[in-house]
Amino acid sequence: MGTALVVAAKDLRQRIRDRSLLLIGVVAPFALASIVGLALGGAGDFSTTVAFADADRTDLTAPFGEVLRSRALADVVTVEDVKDETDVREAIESGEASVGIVIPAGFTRDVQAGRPADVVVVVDSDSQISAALATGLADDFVARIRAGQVAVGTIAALGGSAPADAGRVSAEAAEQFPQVRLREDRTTAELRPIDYFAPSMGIFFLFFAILYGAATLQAERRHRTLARLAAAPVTETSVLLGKLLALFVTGSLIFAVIILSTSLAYGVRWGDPLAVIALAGTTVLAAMGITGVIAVLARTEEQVRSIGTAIVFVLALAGGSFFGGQLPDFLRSLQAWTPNGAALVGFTELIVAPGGGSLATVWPALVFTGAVGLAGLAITFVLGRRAFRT
Amino acid sequence: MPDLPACEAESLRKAFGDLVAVDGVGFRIDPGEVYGLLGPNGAGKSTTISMVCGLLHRDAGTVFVCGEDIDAGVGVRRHIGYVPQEVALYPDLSGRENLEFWGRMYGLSGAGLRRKVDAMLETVGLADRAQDVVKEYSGGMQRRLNIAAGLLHDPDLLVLDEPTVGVDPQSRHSILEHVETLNAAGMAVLYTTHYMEEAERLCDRVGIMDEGRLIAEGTRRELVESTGGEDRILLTFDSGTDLAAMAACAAPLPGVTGAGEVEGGVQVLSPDARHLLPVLVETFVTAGHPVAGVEVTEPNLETVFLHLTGKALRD
Ligand SMILES: Nc1ncnc2c1ncn2[C@@H]1O[C@H](COP(=O)(O)OP(=O)(O)OP(=O)(O)O)[C@@H](O)[C@H]1O
Ligand SMILES: [Mg+2]
Repeated sequence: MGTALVVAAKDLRQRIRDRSLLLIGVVAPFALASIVGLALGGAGDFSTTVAFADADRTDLTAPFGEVLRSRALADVVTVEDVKDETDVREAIESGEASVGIVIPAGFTRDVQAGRPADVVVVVDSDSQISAALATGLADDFVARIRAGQVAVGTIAALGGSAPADAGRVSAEAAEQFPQVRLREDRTTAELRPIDYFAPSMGIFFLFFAILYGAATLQAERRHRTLARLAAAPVTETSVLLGKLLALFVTGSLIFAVIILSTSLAYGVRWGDPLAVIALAGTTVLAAMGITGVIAVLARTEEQVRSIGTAIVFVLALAGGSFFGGQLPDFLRSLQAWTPNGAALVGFTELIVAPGGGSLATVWPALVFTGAVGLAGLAITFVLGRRAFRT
Repeated sequence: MPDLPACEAESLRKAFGDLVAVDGVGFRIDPGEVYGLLGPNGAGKSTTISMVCGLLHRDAGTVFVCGEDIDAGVGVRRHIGYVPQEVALYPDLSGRENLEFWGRMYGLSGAGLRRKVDAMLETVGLADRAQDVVKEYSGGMQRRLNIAAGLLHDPDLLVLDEPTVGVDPQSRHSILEHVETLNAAGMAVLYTTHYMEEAERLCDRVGIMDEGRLIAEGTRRELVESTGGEDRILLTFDSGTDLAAMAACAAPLPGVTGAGEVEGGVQVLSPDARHLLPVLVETFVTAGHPVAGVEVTEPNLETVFLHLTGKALRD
């Protein structure tokens, strides 16, 4: 294991020194995802239109409408008044509004009767910032009502109870007060272009970066260091393991960068972290497995790169990397059969899944990419070990 | 293990397809001995060395290093310091980083590794260039670092594959000196070369290789004597001279062990050309056939090779 770590550290040092990795692995995927994603109309704007339905129309609810229309929010919030929740949904679906707030009919009655009452916030999948804003405003509204009602309720309750009970009573009362319920309705079925191109370009360039890394297996031969390694008191297995470890770290870093950069810059919500990490991991393995086989079968570094580039492009085409989610039919079935396409489908499913999905959302992609990766790595190992002592 | 041989190779054989690169080669290197493999390009020297170092699968034969079978496990290779024929370093890493990496591959670490790397950089005169990446080094500097990388772990057996090819005379001199120093400190050396002078200067014993076979082996003296150990004098005359008559004229002279007509002149063999030469020249002048040219070849490994194979060591 020590040997593998030393070899991995050496390889990583070489990768870092190689500027092309920075370009291929970090700059290119972000830049391309940005260009394509934004050109096709991508990231959400900061000002937002709120579809607002006050179906109750009482003195209690009126102030909320006023706050929404207040000068303080004028820059950020445009209010579109509608009748009820159905209209709110329609407005969001049609794209007129990116978030909606509904005060249902009977809200005031329920509050006054001490029954639970809800303020409903309806959000569109791409409008995280709007959703946060609307939720915040609704929360604030509910908090005000609650403050008033706690006072009323407590006094009412104290009328017939001992002071010792005051705490319990007010807690009970508070439980029945209005709440903001966030309905994360995915009103749009389609992804924003950036949601598709972030994972698609990430995977595409990941394969390239890993390919260039795998080519170093051949570089060891060209620099004749392979012979020196073969003469050293270390096993081929540990050397190969070290080189693969370096590839894995490189691939994982590339994925981390594309995930962080696109979520910060464009609000891409990649979904459940555990599922994302797992799928990123198996995708890196698949990239390693495929490029590893190319690297051990080829005779020179040049061959690895030229043959590998062709294969990566074919995979990217078949895997739908360039089609922005609107795949031609013949590709839709092909996509699932390429590991990169399967991974892409997995990632986009996590992005659209309500609540960000989970491992269960992506298990087919996990299994497929993982299997391709392990099979490729097994071949790489067997052939790579043989290459040591010809 | 002062009594065990540093290296004992037997019946090594390796074929690449139809080409038998090494065919039944065996030798033994004692501790502290410098053993040379001398042979022309393609003789099979590198292939032999690769098998000795365990980095090439053998078709047949055994290798023991310091008493341990080279196949017994990777640990056995720790006895060997292998310096490949061509520079085998990472061009995008600095000299220091290269040495540190190879030191670690041989099990060094921590302060011990750093000390060793510093000392080795000093020894090969690269201390002030240690931070530069190797691809910026000159060819000679790369070769010196190449050797240093094989020496970090104080091997019992240093294996050098033509370390002076393509090196300027000054670097060459310092490499040879370095090998002599290491050997004086007790390190056994397996040295391949196709330079006769290097083999003569460095090696206690020499194995002469040609076309995959070890065709002779011994000290320089033994090898020279085995082929007669005589100087060769080649005399040329003005055109039209009867060479057969000239040879007959030289044959009876004292100190001449053989004389005959050869392509372009008369060849005379003698154990002592220096004393014979004035007599020879005077004899021919007296006979009215002034000598046009004289070439004396003292016996050396070159002539031994010529004698054994009928061809020159270098193309
Ligand atoms: N990997 C290989 N595949 C095929 N043939 C090889 C291989 N390695 C060496 N040979 C052949 O084996 C023969 C011996 O080669 P080797 O490199 O051992 O010679 P050498 O004595 O080291 O020559 P040089 O002085 O040129 O280094 C040559 O004919 C060479 O072409
Ligand atoms: Mg050679």
